[in-house]
Amino acid sequence: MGRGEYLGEFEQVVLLAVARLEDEAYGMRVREEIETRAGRRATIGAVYATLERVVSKGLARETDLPGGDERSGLARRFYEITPAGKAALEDARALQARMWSGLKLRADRRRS
Amino acid sequence: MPPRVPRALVRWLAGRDDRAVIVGDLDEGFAQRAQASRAGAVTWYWSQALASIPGAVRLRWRRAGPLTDLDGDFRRALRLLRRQPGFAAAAILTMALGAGLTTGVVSVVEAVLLRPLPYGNADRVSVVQERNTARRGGSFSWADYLDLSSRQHSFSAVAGYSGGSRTLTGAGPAERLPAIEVTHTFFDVLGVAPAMGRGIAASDTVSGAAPVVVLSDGAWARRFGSDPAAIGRSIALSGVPHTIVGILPRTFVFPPRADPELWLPLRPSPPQVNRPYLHFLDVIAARRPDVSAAVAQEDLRTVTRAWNDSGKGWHTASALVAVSLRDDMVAHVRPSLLVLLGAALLVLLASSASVSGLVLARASGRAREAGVRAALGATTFRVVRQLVVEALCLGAFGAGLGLILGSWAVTTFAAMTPARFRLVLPYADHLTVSPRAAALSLALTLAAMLIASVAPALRAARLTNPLATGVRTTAGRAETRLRGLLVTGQIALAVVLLAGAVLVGRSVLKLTRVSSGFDMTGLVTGRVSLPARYDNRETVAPAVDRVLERVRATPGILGAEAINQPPLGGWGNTGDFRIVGRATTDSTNPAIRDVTSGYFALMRIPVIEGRGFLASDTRASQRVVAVNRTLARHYFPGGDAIGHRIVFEFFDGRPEWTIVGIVGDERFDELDRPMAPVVYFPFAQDPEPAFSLVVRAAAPETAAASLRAAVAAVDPDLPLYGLRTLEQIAAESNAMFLRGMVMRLLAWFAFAALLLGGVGVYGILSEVTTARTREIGVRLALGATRGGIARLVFRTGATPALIGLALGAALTVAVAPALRSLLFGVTLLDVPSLAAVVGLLAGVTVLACAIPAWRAVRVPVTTALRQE
Repeated sequence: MGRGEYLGEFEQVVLLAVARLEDEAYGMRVREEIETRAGRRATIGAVYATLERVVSKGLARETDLPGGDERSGLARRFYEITPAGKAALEDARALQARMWSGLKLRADRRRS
Repeated sequence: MPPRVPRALVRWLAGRDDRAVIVGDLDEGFAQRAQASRAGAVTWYWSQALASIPGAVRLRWRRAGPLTDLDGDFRRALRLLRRQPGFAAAAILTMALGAGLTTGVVSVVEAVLLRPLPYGNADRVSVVQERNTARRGGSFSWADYLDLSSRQHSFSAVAGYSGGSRTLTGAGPAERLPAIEVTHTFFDVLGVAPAMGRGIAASDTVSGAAPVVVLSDGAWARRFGSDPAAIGRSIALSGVPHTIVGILPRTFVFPPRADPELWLPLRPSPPQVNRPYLHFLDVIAARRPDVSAAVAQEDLRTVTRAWNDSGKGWHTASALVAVSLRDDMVAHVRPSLLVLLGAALLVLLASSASVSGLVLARASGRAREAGVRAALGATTFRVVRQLVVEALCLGAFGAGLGLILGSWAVTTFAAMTPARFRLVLPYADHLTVSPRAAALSLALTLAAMLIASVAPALRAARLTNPLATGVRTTAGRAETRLRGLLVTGQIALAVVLLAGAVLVGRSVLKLTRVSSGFDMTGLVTGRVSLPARYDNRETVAPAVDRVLERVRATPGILGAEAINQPPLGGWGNTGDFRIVGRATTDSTNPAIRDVTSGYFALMRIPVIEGRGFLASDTRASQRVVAVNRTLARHYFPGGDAIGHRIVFEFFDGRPEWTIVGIVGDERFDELDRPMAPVVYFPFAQDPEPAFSLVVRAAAPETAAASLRAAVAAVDPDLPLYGLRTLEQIAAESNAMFLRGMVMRLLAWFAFAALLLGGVGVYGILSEVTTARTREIGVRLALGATRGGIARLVFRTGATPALIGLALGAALTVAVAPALRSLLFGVTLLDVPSLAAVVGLLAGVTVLACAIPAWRAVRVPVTTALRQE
């Protein structure tokens, strides 16, 4: 990942879900992980669109494996985070940490 | 089972690579939820599927990579074009030819016929004409103008103008400037305000008011270097000081009067005021915004009826007509321009067909390539994108070249057009490529190229097993049929264009054989206007004599005479007469000419009966006239014209004039019009301060300088202007020039179409022959004769071409009426012309078919069979 390129917020969420799910990281599970853990609604289409983006950036890898009867025999697409993906996540966290360091947000004081 | 509709929708919308996993995930989610509640699962499926559509479509778009590796596509396209320079050059040139010609012609048509005039009231300005069965032209007398202005209710303003010119003296050499005299309402009618100063006020037109002048921007720039201090300055115009009061906007033009430089208040002379039959005023009017053209015309009809019923003799046959100013200006060129526009569109069609044919010729090869790429995993989108990029590359080159060609066409068109057309047609003096015209013609050709290149590949890429059909390099049946159709179309268009060119060309030829009635060789004419100090009947004739003496003494000048109207300059003055001793004389409104005594001899116009004019025909002697043969035959069918006396209303005191001679018919008007009756007066008996000098010179092209010097030697304030040879004037007349231009352009267009058609036939046959080499080999091996093979190939090319010839002949008959106004002495259905054109094109077709047929026959059997 080049200098100055940061992960988008949803990209971070999706990548983190992939990392957490480890071997279980395929589309439907990633979506569920986001819904249950982040409390955010996500559609399967949006999840795949984002996954394709992180894969094309080299932050994750994808593998299609045959599926069972519960999904009409249709393939599952599994994702795995790459070292570049891990580095990008670390960068994102470090950036946030730097920006938060020593900062205290006070309530707005308005002049009347 | 998951609900079928949303499932199918997602399947359909998702890309090939993703539809299985997305639908699988949805099915899996559905299966989990269905254990709890089927209704809940169905609801979930629907909402999840519908909400996933944007993401799925985005994903598909990303995977298709509409922009990834676009530069690679461009590189491949350019490489391909470099590898097939013949194809690339043919496609680019063909496209440029069609788009360029169309751009050029459409630009001209747009400027002259369509672009709004630079007036505030552009769409409401009408020319009002007083037409009369006997009188030509539609001008008004002063009394009629005033009467019309007060009676009408449909126009917010009515204005009159009268042409003329003034000699500017006192600032360098005397210069004749085009001038126009206008009523104070003139600029209100057009809706134009001066850029500086003021326009013409009502007070300026009152007799005795201080003379003022408004300058055109051009005159202001040329004479005063665009100095604002020019306003208020005084200039001498034909000897009278005038104060400059205003400057017109730079964009302002008034084509009906060939761009005047001086705008003067119109002050009718006493005869103009007093003689209600003296028609000298052209009238324009601005229709009120709330009045339709039809209502305005009805209003004019009411005025007409009032005039007809007035009992005044000059009104009984009048009819008032309002024509839009634009229509009136362009009426004489509209048919020619529309014919050219039609022809250019035909060329555009032909070139589009040709480009399609060329691209289709490659389509079979490209289809195979598309099949291979699809088999290797390229998406249809990428295959099509590559072809679109290729077509765009070709198109960009074609468009660039087409624009260059188009701007060249416009420049050439402008250069070909004589000043007398450029100055009187809207915008014709500043022709440029119109962006709209360029966009239109480029878009059409580009669309043709795109469709032709993409459609076959799209079909190939969709085939389930592209390689199976792609291995043979034969063109598909559909492509061959389509290319046959294109060839048919091209040949048909070529027939129409060529036949049009031949018809107009024959008309031009016939016109050149029309006798002008005089010998044009070496004749030069120019205009002289005597300044105001000569403006006296007693001093004009001697001054004219002095000029003639001086010119005759110039080396290389064989003779010089004067006439009141320019030769071949149109009708000019006309007037009716009554024959003494007859109860009635019907009105033919003959042309009036004042000529010096040697005029007939100089022009080599024969004196048929009686005598010509003599130096002794002066103001002191008996009043005499000569008439032309047309007039003599009309009024004196018994051949007894000589000795009759005639009286003209327009001469003060209505004196009697005796006919002393009948002379040959001399043309003043266009060569394609019928001959007009003419009455000639001796110049000395009816002198005019403005006259045309007619000179026969040994070297007419180079006579200008010595002629100017001779006239200036008599009086330095006398400019000699508008010098032309009569041959130039004849060539630039409407009758000749418009036809000649259309003929030349049609011939070029036809040549282009012919070339495209020939290349088309040749192309399709070469392709078919190559593709059928194996078949030919088999046929030969099985005992077919070489002659049989030649016939087979020949037939393939000749059939669409023959259909094209027949179709073209039929189309020509159908569109020929569009040419009607341009034809002269040729019938619409000119069988010999059409036969010649069809014969010529048939010859080209035979030639284009013969080469591939000959090649096919020479294929050795073994080579043919070894092909695969």
